[in-house]
Amino acid sequence: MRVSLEFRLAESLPVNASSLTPDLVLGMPETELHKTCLDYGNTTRELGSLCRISYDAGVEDSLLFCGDTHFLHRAGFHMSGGRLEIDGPIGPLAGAEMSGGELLVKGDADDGLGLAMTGGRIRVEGNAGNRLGGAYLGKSHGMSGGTIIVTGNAGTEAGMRMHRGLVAVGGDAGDLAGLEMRAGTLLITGDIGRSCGLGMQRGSIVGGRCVEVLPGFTRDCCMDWHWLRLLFDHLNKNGVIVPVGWQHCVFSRYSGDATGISRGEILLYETEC
Amino acid sequence: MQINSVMIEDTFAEAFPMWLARLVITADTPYWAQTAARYATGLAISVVGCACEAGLDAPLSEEKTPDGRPGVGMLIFGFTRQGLEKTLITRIGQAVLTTPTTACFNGLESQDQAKIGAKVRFFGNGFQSSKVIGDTRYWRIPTADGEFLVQESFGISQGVGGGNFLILGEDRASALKAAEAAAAAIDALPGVIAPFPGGICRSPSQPGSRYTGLRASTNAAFCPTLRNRVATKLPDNAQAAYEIVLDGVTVQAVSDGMRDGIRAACLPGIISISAGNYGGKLGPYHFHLHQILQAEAPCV
Repeated sequence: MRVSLEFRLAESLPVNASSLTPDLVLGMPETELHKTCLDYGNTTRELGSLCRISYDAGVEDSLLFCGDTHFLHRAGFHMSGGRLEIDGPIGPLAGAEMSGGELLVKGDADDGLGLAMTGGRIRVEGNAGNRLGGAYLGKSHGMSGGTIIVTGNAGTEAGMRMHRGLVAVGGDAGDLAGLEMRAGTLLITGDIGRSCGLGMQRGSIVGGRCVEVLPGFTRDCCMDWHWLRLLFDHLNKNGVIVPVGWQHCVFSRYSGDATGISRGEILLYETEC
Repeated sequence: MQINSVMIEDTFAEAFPMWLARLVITADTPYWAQTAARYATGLAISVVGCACEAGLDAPLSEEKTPDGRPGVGMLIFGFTRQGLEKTLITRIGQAVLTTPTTACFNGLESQDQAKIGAKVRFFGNGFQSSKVIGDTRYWRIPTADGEFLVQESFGISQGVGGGNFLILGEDRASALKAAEAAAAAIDALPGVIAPFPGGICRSPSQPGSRYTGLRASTNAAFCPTLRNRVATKLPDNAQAAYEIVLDGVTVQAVSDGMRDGIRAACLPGIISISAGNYGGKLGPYHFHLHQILQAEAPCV
């Protein structure tokens, strides 16, 4: 059964949707769901007054947000299972601290998508904001598991302090991609902004073109990487088309950042070695 | 029963459970994938004297391998789970990792997983790194031609070992020609291997020996030089016999291998086809030759 929440907000104020996870909503009686209280601006409102709730028995178990979804923040926050679909753009911190399940955004996602997530899958059919899969300010660990796929562009600090997992961006990424990255894989098929991998300790940044390679990175070699074949195949199966030529997996490797332990790598696409 | 005037004896082969793993070895070219697999299956003939029994399963095209490169499947069987794990680590570490351009992946879907790559990785001496793609972890071990990629865990399950049949010929040349045809027929099948050299065993064995410490000894009943000293199982005009031993991923795979192998072996100069058993005391799987050749379904 699919539960649809069509948000119709009288005022342009943010709604904290963190309590609306699929496992909670799908197991909740309709009357109780109507009376669930959400933060709306600096007040509290019952869910029934913010959206129209409908049930569709003929569809697989899932929770759908539609309507004024761009005012929702923390959608899928801490979710551990089930499927949450958002038909439209979504506000900040969607999928933050998520540990399982699937979050699908059919639109753009604001800052902090998948922040500190530990598992599950996020797919954004649009652009993502800043600090994609990153860490809370002041925290040492960003995303530590799971997969984020963004078909469009990403803002600054994508994969900041990322600890494990996979972030794949189908377009360009802003400055400071992979900032202080601990481990994991950050793939950007388009252009990468300035200061990519600054303070990186471990992990892999895979990209097409980089505006600059920081002096803390040193070119090691150029070759075809077998693990990238597996990664690209995995991404293809998940609807991310890697650019033409990438299938040969010929990339130059830059290791760094030498300001740290220098065990990270930036792999940049080459037409030939 | 007769096939091409070759008598099929009314007997059965007796087989037993063995632990099984399947590797997929890939490389830049089919030659190097085959080379790695050949060396990894070296001296893996019989658990009587080897740590395992192993053989090449089937060549794999680029579309059928995880990294889109040419590859080969390899089946490896052991008597104990611990023994199989140990030999997998040794063989992947010594034969596959060292072969140019190779990578090694799990080829057996199973709930039961053994952490093999997780131990092979220590060759990296701290420079190894891991990647999780989907739900699978891989280890990247630096080598002089780039890096060796190995899957962290390999599926382990129970297979069937010890399926067999014997080809009894009028002379050695005829028997060997028939055995070669049988081995080629088995080689073409997926999920079953004939682990002896060239797929053929010249020395059928029996459990135990008059000498202490030996686990097996020559099966005198099939030795033509001993036909007047022991109760021989050779027909009067048989001058040579060869045994084909089969291990398979399932009972059906062994049954298919025996069926195709026996049919291929029924050539001129062959008197009869027999099978080795110990009265049903050795193992739970009984492959009755007549039933295998008559029916598609295995006979257990």
